[in-house]
Amino acid sequence: MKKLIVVLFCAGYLINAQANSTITIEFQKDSEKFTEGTVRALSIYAEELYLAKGIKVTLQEPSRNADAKKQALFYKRERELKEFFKEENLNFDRISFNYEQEGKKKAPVISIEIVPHAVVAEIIRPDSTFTNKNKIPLTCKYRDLELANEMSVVKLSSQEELYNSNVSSFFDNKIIFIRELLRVEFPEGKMPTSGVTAEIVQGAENAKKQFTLLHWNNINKEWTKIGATKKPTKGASGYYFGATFEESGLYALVENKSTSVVPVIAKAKKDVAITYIEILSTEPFLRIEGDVSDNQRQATFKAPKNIENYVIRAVCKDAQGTEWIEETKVSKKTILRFFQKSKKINAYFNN
Amino acid sequence: MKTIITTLFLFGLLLGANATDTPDVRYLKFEELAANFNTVNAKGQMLECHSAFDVFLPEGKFAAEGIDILVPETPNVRGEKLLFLKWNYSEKKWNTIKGKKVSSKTINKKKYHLVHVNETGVYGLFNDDRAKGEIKFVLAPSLRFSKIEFSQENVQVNFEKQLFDKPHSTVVPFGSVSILSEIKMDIYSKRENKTTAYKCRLGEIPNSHRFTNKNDHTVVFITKKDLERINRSSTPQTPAP
Repeated sequence: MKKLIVVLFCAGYLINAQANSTITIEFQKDSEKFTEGTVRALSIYAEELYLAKGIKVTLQEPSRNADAKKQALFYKRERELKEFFKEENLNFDRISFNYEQEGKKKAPVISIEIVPHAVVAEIIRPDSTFTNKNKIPLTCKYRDLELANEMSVVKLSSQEELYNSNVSSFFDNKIIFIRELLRVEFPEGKMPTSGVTAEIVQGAENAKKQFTLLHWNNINKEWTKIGATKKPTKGASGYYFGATFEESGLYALVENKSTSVVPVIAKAKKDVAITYIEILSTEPFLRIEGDVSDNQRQATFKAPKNIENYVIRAVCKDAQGTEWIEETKVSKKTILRFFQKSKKINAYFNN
Repeated sequence: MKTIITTLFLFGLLLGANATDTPDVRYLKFEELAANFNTVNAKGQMLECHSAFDVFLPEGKFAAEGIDILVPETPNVRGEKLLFLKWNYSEKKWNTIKGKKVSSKTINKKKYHLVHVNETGVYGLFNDDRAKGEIKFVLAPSLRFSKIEFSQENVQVNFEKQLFDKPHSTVVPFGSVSILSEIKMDIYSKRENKTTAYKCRLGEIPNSHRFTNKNDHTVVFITKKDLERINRSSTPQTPAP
């Protein structure tokens, strides 16, 4: 019996020795001053803190969208604690600061844990989720907060904006359906250290569709895939696509589906030469450059089969050097039956 | 003594100037290409010029080792094959260069044609696909050709031929003709016993005088009226001697 008591006592002592001491830091109401209880606790643990191998400080940081007063108070309290550490001559190389997004139920604003092992002195911050100046719900690393707050994401929708964007409707040698074309701008051409994720709102009808985010490379004139193809996520206010932006530029949200194509032949009048030609459609946004034949009399395209209406825009020139733009609306009604049978859609200019 | 110092100084200047010499590669615009060079191979076949450039290599390291020239590939064209030729000034034709081939290189996901050059001169990259078809020009009975020049900017082709036997018709070995192609002709009139230079675009010759024959070749009839109209619309020119 005696032996058993001794074993239990030793085990209890061992467990107790391994348990970490945790000090909850409490503050006076609306002030950065410690409460009397906290001052007392800190004085009790002063020696232990000084001799500790490692100290972990956990801080419940208010959201970026929180009240300014609340934020200011938190940072004052944080400063007050650091001042205390300095006064007590604690070694900052043994302290790690772990910031958590505020919201954990009953979690203290700041708590200190004395651990029996060495810790890596670092500042760990979670990704911040907030709505920025331009009313865009964003998630980003703490160090990108300022940049993300100023960034803008503009959806291009007018025919003029889409046309002037000069982007291609081809990716990986396949025609793509651009559902949304976005102009992203970080202030002063700066780039975030990690990507900033914006919630791009999607209608319920797109909930089951797969989307891919592409970035337009303006030098190589081609699209680059960003991240994986995925379905929109359901959030508190409906479905959204989490698009991660790493630099300013044009981005396209593209529906991931294969498109069957039909050849289109556009022919010019006998006394007209085509110098440039393209197919344009607004919904979905499409812009396909045609191949002009060597004799400049006709041009060929590969157009998506299921597009009902589009415009063929051509730059024409006559022998006298006069240049003009010719626009021809192409719809199923204008397609000749004969060519439809042979799977060709033909667009003729005003002959 | 003064002469020696001056000579040494000038020699030093020359050395200094040579030391700063760097290679120079200048792309030729179509106007310059058409004005000074043709785009016909040794067999008289028309070649479409992808790009042409004038290369200057200074004596020394660059001439010994040569330089690499990168030319962007044409977008949306798969498996583009090009010929690398050098202009021979004395023979006035494009020659193949032994041991020189066009290779490809990708930099930042962008594809380029790569050629190596170790001599100063004019070089060209041509589509390795000889142009097919032809266009035949036929003059009114009393008129004769003494020179014809044909150029088409969109495909970068240029053909030039002196016709010493003064024929009544002439053929340009290129079939995909655009109304924007430019024709320069020195035409000899038997009646007036003089040669006049004319310059026009193909589209300026009326439709009714241009047709496609059974071989799918374009035939263009040029009448005196056409020439008068061309003359009126442009500044009268005298042929080059």
